[in-house]
Amino acid sequence: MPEMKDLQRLLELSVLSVSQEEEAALLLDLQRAVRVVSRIRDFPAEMEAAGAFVQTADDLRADRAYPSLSPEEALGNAADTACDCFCVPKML
Amino acid sequence: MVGEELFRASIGKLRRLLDQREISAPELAEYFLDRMQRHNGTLNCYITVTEEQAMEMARRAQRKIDQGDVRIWTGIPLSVKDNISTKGIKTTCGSRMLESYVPVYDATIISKLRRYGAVLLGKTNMDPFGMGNTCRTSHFGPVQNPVSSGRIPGGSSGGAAACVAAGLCAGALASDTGGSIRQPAAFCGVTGLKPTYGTVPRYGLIAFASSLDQIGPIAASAEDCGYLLDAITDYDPNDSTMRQPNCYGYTGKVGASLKGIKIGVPAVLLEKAEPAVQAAVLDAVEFYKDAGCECVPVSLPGRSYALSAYYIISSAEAASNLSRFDGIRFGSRGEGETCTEQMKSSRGNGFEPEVKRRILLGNYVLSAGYREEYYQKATAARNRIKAELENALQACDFLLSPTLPFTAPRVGVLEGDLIRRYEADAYTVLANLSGLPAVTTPCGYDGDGLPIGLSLTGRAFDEASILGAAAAFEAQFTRREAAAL
Repeated sequence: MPEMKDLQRLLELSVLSVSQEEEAALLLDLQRAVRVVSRIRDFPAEMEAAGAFVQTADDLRADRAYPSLSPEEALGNAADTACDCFCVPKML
Repeated sequence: MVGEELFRASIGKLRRLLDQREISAPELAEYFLDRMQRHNGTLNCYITVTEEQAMEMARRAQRKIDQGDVRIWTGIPLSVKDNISTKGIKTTCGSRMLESYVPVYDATIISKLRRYGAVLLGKTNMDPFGMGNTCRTSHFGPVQNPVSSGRIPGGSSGGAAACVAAGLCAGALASDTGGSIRQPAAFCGVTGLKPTYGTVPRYGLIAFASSLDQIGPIAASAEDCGYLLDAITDYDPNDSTMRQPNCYGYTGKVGASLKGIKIGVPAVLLEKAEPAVQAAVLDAVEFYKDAGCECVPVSLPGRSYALSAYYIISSAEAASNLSRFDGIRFGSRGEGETCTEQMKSSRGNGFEPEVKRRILLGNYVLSAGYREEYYQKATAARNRIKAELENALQACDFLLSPTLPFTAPRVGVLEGDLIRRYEADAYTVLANLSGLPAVTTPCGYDGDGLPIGLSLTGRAFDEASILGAAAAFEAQFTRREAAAL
């Protein structure tokens, strides 16, 4: 079963920040969810082929550039923009 | 001529009324918008009502009708689940994360519907990002079941099923990843279809679990679902998982004889159902026998792994798909000194608790040391389940079972119990894991008057057969009106 240190690692991997109270609740929920999916550990996988379920169409699109969004459209849903760019906090 | 009972009319009947000029497309749109105004406050099945656009689309549809350029859905008022992109119309996925997101392009199915004059009335409520089966967790408030106000409508397409059951649209387009069309359709007493994986283009559907997601219809009847499926099926080079280009005629077997058809009945799915559900489904078996079908038991031993496989695969895919929501390009934005802190805060504040749980579970089952134990076994189990269902369908024309082992639970029962909530998907996930088509239609009512769903699962790309068989059952079954309006 996942413990608090596992949850904290998963929160990092998932790029999520949560409050301490939420963290405690999420740990309990994650443990319950893992209990639901743990049945799969009994599955005799060596008898079966694992692999991708989705088969893609044989006739894929040509690999070439198509007309795309204008800068105004691309930035239309961003919270903060300047000079046709998305704004983010300083990286360095 | 606008009559008071138009909301009960089938799409076929509305088509005749429009073609015979007994009603105009704008009058029909106004009629449904008026019903929405009266009932949506109570039911909360629409997040966004697109009144102005709907009237403009209706006027355009009327011009097409006047010119004789008509498809079955021209001028027909429809609703669209709020995870299907609509250019210029908010598409929220029922989540705070996208509460003000306005797509800059239409999903392929929306482009096609617009082109041929369907009227889009609004965007329907849902559990955030399709993750949930109660429709009580939307950022925009819970949906009420029109059949009984104290019961959940089911989810995640609870808004779509509720608006069809309440007659607030002539048909609905929704999505189904683990039962999100069929479960709410069963709880609200209407018909819903999850098509074969690869039948309907998913370009513009905001992804939850890409190997499971499929767009499909919810409507008052199997025939109407067939008309809607005709409307949205088309080859789309933007979706590389499309498998059956240009397949039409999904209502082709409505009214056809059932004589000689072989139906498989998975005993395990019947045994675990509540007594009222068992009785109603056994009555349906008798109906099909009387109609000349042969019903045989089938065994699905791999089914016991289905729920685990579904939650592992869907959560792993969700963790990947939802990594795009960073609050920078779109979505709600949080505070933070650094870019990473800002993204964490955006996602922590923007995602609802169930979405966070699935992302965490997805990353857990993909983590080093657990991948082999969970994810790889889940994909192997999925292949076995698919093979078992396909083998059963080589011997039978389709499989018959309850859609769910119980009727709509009381409000509050599933919401506070994660394990029961997840286990409620155990029947419906089979069709998603295998990619096969499945339809649900009401087949009875329990002691509280709640509808019971009958599920028919067919061979890949043979939606016409299960819709025909469902329509035959519907023709002799009396549905009850939604009582909570």
